Order: sequence, then C-alpha cells, then structure tokens
Amino acid sequence: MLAYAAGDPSAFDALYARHKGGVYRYLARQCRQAGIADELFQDVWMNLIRARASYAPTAKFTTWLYRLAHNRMIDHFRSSGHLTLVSSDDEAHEDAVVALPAARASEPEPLAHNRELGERLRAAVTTLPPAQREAFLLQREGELSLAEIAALTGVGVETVKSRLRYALSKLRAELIDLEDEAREGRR
Amino acid sequence: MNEHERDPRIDAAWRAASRDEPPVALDDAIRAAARRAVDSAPQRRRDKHWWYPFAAAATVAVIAVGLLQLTPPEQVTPAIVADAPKVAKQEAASAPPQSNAIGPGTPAPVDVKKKLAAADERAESARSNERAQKLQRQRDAADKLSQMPAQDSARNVAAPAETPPSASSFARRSEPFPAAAPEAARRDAAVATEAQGRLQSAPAAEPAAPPPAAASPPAAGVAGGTVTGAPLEEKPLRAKSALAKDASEAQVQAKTQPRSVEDWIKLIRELRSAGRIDEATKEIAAFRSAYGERADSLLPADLRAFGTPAAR
Repeated sequence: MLAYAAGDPSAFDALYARHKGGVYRYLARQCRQAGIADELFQDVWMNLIRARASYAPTAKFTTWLYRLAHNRMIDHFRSSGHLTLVSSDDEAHEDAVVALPAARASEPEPLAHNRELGERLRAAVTTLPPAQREAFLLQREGELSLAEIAALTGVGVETVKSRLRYALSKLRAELIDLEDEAREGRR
Repeated sequence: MNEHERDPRIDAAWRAASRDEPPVALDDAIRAAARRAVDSAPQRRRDKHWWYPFAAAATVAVIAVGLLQLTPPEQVTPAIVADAPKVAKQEAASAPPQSNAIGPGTPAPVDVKKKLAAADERAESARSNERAQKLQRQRDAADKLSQMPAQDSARNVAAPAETPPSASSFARRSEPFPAAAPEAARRDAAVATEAQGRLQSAPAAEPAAPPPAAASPPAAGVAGGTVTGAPLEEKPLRAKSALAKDASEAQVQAKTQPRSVEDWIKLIRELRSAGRIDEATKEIAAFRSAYGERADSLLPADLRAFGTPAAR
C-alpha cells in the first residue's frame, strides 16, 4: 500500500488481486443483491484509491480495507433504511441482536450434490443476524482476529466472541441437518 | 474447543462455497481508476530529490555573487600614489582644470604616469647637475692649489717611476674606465702637487712639469722610488688636510665615477708615500677585486707585492 501511495500502480494490482474476492464476498453475503454488492465493492476500492495518501501502517492493511468495506456497508444500510442500530456492547441486548430478523434467503440457485453443503452453508450464513454474519464473514473472508473484529465493529472482544458463538452454532446445526438429510437420502 | 473458535468442517465447507469473484469488467474499471489516479497525481512523491538541481544552481549563483563582491576593484596601488613626487603633484595642482568627469583634484591615471616620468627625468638631471657642480668644485680646488708659489711648482717635477705609464699604456689601461679621465688627471695633479711639497727637491735635470691645468697625463710625480722622506716644512697642516680632503673626495667620486688605472695607481702611491699604509692596502685590495686576474699585470712591480700579507 505504501508503494502504491508512492506512485507504483503495480502495487495496487497486487493488493487488488489478493483481497478482491474476500471483500466481494463480504459485501455480497450481506447485501444479498449482486448489483448492490458490485456498487459497494467499487465504492470501497475507490475510497481506498482516494485515501492512499493518508494511509499509515499503524495496523494491518486487511483491517484498514475491511474497515472501509464495513463503513461503506453501514452507510448503505442507513441510506436504505434497513439497519436498526442496537447497542451491541451491552450483554442485555444480546437477545435483541440474536432476534434480529434474518436476512432474506438468496435466490434459489441450481444445487449439485458436491456443492450442496457449501450452498446450504452459504444460505445459512445469509440467515444469520447481521452482527453475527458480519463477525463470521470478517473472520472467514478477512482472516481478522477477534481484537481486530472488535476494533473494526466498535464492540468489545467478548461481544465478538458471543456473536461468533451463536453464528457457528447455527451453522453447525445446519450442517447436521444436511448430513441427516444426506443419510436419509441414501436410505 | 471453544465455541467461538473456528470449526474445520465449517471452514472446509465455506471454502468450497466461497468462489464468488467480482466481474471482470469491474476489475478492469477499478484497476484503470487506480492507474489514472497515480498518473495524474503530482510527481512529488516519486522524485523526492527534484529540488536538488535548483538548490545546486542557487548555491553556485550565491557563491559567484559573493566572490565578485569580495574581489576588490582594480585600483592604483598605494606605492604608486605614495611615490608620486611633489613636483608632479604641484604640477597637477597648477594644471588647468580637468574635465568634469575626472575632477580638478584627481588627475587621470595616464596623466599621473606621464608626470611621474617627467619628474624622474628632472630628478636625474638634477643629480647630474649636482655631479657636475661637484666636479667643478674639485676643479676649483685644484686651481687654487695650482696657484701656490712657483718654487712649489718646481718640485712638482717627478722623477720617472720605475714603470712610468706612457700615453699609449694609459690609453690602453684606461679602457675599462673611459669616463672623466681629464678631471681625474687634474685632481691627481693637485694631489701630486701637495705630496711633492713634502719631498726634497727632485733631480734638477728633470724639466719642469707642465702645469696641472693642462689636460695631459701627469708624470708619476708620486713615484714611490723617488721618495726621499723630506719632512714638510711649508704649509704642513694645509697639505695634510688637503690631501685628506682629496682622498675622501676621491673615494666618493670613485663610487660615482669609475677610476682609471693610472689614477688608481697614483692614489695608491700617494697614500703609501704619505704613510697611510692601511688606506693604501685597502685601495690595492679594491684594485685587485676590480680587475681580478689582470690586477697583477696592471700594477707596477713595487705595488704588486704591496698589500699582500707577505709584504706586510
């Protein structure tokens, strides 16, 4: 990033190739519409280009990149009216976080057996509450640590742990259901 | 395993499902925008040292200007101004006013040089005038001495020396010092007259010597061989003082005008006959240093040995 900020365009190409998939999936899994995801994705990278001069290597580049993506996504949800802000640092509101309406299921896609698990898992992620989904995606796509997720989302580390716990429990349940269905199918 | 930690099964399933990529067109658009942003940005970040050539040029310019200002302008050296003679300055003051550009009190450098040259010429002419006046005084002194009683003049006849210098030898030997031979001869004649005053009468067979005023080379009146040691009976103090005066004048004149061989030898003989051995020795030493190897050939036999340590 420093090389690109110094004027080396090939440095940007390397950064983009390394992180474009994770950022795109992070946005796509939360927006549930490809067009919007593309728009947000382009906005995130344009913001990065414009902010290259002010970049300071005080944290990981990944953390800074996903912060840009997180902020752009929040701005989109605010403008579209789909976001209900709830204080997530308070443990008393954990139930409210959990009770947030799940995202609408993505459009049905042709499922093959060898991709069924992944599809079901991806579908299960989209049904997770936004906070849990975001924590799960930041951990899986961004490869961020608990502390980095906490700093990025503005919550405590324990809250991040809680969100991830709930997300994983639901996803495991979905996997068990898939295995049971597969077992029953073979029967 | 903590519940919030990563589940390998879920991770594997998620990697299999996470193959979504942005569209190629979107990739191209973003890359192009990134390249445009870098190309259009100022080159400050690329060339951090862009200002080096300007700084170097400015530094060189400052140094050059500083050197030019520190270099003193060409001006007349103090020595030339200090050596300007008073005559030149007086002439400059009395000269008609110069042009307005130069100023009345400050003559142009070319005029100063001309005036200095003229002043030098005048100084040289003054020196030569002084020299001539001095010679005239000596001549006058010789004339006065020549007006002594006739009996003194009869004694001026000198016996021939062992090696009386002939006219031809005089002419030959006087070649290195061709200047002022007549004046030196006249002076030496006066000295010889005084020296003869102390001697006994010369052999009567000798004819009377020509008067000192004549410009002929005198006979070797002070030949050492004819000294008989007769004491001075007439005007001893005056003769001695005149001799000392003439000797000192001879030394001064020797510095200003080169001495002829004949005159020099005559002087040495006179000094020796007068008992002034040290001075005679010095004169011989000077003669030898002047003529070098030729000195022995020029000196008469009686003087050749004189002045050497063995002779003393």
